[in-house]
Amino acid sequence: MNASPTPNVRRLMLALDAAQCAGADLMLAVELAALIGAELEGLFVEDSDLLSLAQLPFVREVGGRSGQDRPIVRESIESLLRSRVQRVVGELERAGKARNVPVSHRTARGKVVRQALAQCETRDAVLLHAHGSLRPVPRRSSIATAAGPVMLWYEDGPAAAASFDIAVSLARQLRSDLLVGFPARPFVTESDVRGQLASRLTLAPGQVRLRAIEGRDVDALISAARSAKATQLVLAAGARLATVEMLERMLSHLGSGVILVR
Amino acid sequence: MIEDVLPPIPPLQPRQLRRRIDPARLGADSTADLEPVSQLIGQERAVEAVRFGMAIRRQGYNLFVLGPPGLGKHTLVRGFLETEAASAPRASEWCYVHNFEQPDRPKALELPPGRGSKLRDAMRKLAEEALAALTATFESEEFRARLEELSEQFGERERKAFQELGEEAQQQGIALVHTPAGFAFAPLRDGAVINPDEYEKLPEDQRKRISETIEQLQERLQRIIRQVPQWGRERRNKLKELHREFTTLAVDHLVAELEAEYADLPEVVRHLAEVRRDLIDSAAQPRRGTEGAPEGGEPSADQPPAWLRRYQANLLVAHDSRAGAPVVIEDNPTYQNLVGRVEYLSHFGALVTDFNLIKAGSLHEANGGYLMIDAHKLLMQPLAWDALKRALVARKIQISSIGEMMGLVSTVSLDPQSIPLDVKVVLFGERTLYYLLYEWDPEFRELFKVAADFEETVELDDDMLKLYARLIATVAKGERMLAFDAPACSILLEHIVRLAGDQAKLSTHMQSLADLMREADHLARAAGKAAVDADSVSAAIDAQQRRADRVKTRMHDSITEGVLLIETAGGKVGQINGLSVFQIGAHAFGLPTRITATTRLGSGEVIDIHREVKLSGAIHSKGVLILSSLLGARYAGLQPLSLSASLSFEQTYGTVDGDSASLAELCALLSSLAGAPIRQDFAVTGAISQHGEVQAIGGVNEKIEGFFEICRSRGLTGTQGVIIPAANVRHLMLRQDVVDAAASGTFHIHAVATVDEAVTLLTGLPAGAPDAGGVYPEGSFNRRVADRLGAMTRVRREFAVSQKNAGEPK
Repeated sequence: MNASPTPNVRRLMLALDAAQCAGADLMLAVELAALIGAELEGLFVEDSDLLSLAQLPFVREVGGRSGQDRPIVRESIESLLRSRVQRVVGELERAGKARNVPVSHRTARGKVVRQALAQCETRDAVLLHAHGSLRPVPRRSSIATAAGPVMLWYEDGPAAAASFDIAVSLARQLRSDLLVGFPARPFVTESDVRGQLASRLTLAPGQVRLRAIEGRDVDALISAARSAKATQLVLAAGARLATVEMLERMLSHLGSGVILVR
Repeated sequence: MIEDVLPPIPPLQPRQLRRRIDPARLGADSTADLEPVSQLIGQERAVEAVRFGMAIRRQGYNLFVLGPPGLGKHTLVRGFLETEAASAPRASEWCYVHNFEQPDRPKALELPPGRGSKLRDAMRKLAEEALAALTATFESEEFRARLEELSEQFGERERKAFQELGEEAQQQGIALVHTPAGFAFAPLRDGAVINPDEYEKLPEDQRKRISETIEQLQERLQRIIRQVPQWGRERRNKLKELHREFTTLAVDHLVAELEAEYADLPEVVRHLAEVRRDLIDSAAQPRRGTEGAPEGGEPSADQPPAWLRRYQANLLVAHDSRAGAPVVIEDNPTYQNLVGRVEYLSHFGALVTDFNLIKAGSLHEANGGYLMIDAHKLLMQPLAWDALKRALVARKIQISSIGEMMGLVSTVSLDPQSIPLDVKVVLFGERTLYYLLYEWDPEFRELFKVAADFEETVELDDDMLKLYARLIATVAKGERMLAFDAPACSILLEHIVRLAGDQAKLSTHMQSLADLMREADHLARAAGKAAVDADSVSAAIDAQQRRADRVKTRMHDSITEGVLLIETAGGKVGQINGLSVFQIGAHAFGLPTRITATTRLGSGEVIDIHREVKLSGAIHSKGVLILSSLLGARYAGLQPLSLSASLSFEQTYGTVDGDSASLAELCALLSSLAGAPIRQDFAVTGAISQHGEVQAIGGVNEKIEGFFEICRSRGLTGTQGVIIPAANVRHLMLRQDVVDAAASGTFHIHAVATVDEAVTLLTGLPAGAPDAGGVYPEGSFNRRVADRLGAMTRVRREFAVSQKNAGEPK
């Protein structure tokens, strides 16, 4: 087998919703950073909507497990977010030390997808953790449980090669297959795309599948990723589908992580 | 004048000193020509008892085989039992299996002979194949696909429910926002949650509408959340059904094959049905650890995973290769070796067990047959005797740990189902043990109703000699010895006559016979002989003697060196050579002991110095009291016995017991009274009665030989000899050298029936018989004794009168 490609990624960011983050979310990012030799920055985003609604007098929180409702107090929400971030930061530092990955972190307010996209301008890649839906999903160690392929949304552009290399590295790390989705166009076949990627394709041929995706919209991509049971979706930050709305839709419908590559 | 002179007492004839076995009486020139013997020689009574005990199939008719060690009881009874057992039906086999309803009470399964091991192997194979089949099933693409389909189906339902609610809220201008602990709804403006100031500026009716909408959405959200656990349950049930479906497919046919094979054994079939149910239920649990396996242990290289161990069968007792009923000898009858035990394994510091660790005891192995145990060993083991009795009374074997039995341990363990017991127990032990148990243990009488009492000797006649010759042939052939020629057999038989201690009997102590044969065979082979001859046997006897002779030689040396004072010539008043037997291990030897007596004026007491210092046993003390009584009755019937006498075994520093020296003690005492010297070239042994009769003693051969050796070492004078009770003549089986000395007139054995005969031989004086007035003839030994006692009485009386006249207290 050929040597792993070494993506030209030096600055990796993991963007997490401060209200939902947990230590388990870090593992994949730390392992990936170790693999490609990048430094890792954790971005903890305090949801502006959450902070706003906590000031509304009539809003009540419904318990995710109990279904019981209770009043929301902004101070307690902020305190909770801070302690949660603090705990996860501690875990991030420990994991980074263990894998010899330089780590840092910062906190921001806003919407996590919007922040992630904004950070893509200065970072090589940003990992977005998937909530799967608008309710918490059971958190698992992605590495241990990954069964489906890593999916790459491949379209021409400056970040195409880097996103491909990241996807290959990730597939290696997760010991999974790579599914390369590309927009269906007339006269462009799978073998054409395979030819374009041949020089960078270091995985065994059986581990890489290519699939033309009809429809050219986010729902077609989501449908393809879901039917393939993709565990991670890699796409270029400048891709046509990499908008706030589309990314939010992907995260809410896919139940997988999304990696944006500059 | 002596009125009644005893006839002279001639020494015994050489032929009286040893019973000769004529080789011609054995019926063959060599054991090679003799047929082996299969019967128990001379043990008809014991055989009848054993046969009876084996035949009677009633509770409590177990056997106790009595007799000293070395008679060949075990060998003979085992041979007998094995012969009988060979034609008896084969015993059942037993397996312990898991009890699915009460896991701490493993179930016992009874199987016909030969099928236990098959079931064990089949169950092990079932477990292995089930593991393989389940692993393959749970790793199959089909199963994974179904599993993912199920997960997707239920995950999608949840996701969709929340998504739809979120989208509906969005359409109404409301956002569903994640909070750290759940969700909240809030009105949107320009795609973001409205801030409080803007909200306050909204018209009242709009705020009311928003509030009502949020309330409705909230209620729907709560309904969805409350449904989630129900969906989880449904999901788990579906998952369980999926596992059950695949497990059934994987294992059902495996169990069905076994059910067909054991269709004739309903208990096994019932167990297999439980195995199937449990296998499916257990394997149908959703995966949490090992692929396809429920929690409970990881598989290792040589062991199935813990959860599969419960489907195995622990074969407790197998009778595959045995024909007939089992005959088991328990050499180490500890509690656990008898009733079995539950073993434990250390697992992460804790002791764990299961039915696979139940081990059989000898009761299990002998069940349906016979169990032979040494009673002494059994009684020496804590709780073993009680456990055996309990099993025999209850007719079942219950395995409990010793700790539990004593109430010391209360940890959770197994309580295996008891197994019905049908066994004949044969205990072996000495007679004392049998009678003690019979006397003190009421249950013993109920449980061991048949006593097989082994004879230690048999009558010697021609038929018996021929049988013994065949017995010698049997042992020789059985142990691949050289053949024994007829003279060798004669010497062997003469040796066991001596062991019997009676010229008219043969010892049944087979161990001694076999040992001597082995040793003679060894010597014959070493000498390059083609057969074992008389010299080899004699040499083996001598060698046995020599090996055990160290202590005797040292004591003998002490006498010849003058450390222990023994005279073998001349005469001395109040001093006699008694004879003692020393038992060192299995070896006995005799040596002379000087006994002295002193007499003086007194009030009739005979002081046994050994008794005074508590170095005298009860039997010896009895002998001395008889002696005192005889003295008074015989010589002082009409007057007070006015002597004080002391008796002592000189230079003995241990306990003296037995009454075989009472004749010698009396003779010494009478010699002292009569002032008549006793011949020191004689040694005397014999017990006396109150009437002056000399009674039989034990160890006569060893005693004679002991004195003979001392005399021989100093040079035989031709006057030396030993006086023994006439009743012991039949017990004489003296060594050839002693017989030869007697034949050549250099050593003499005299047998006496009365004290008078003894004193006549010892003093050379006629004893003298009393006349009608009780007066002994003048010049006789007894007259001298009577006169001396009369003089003492007179002196004492005069002394008493003078004391009284002097006014002094008496």
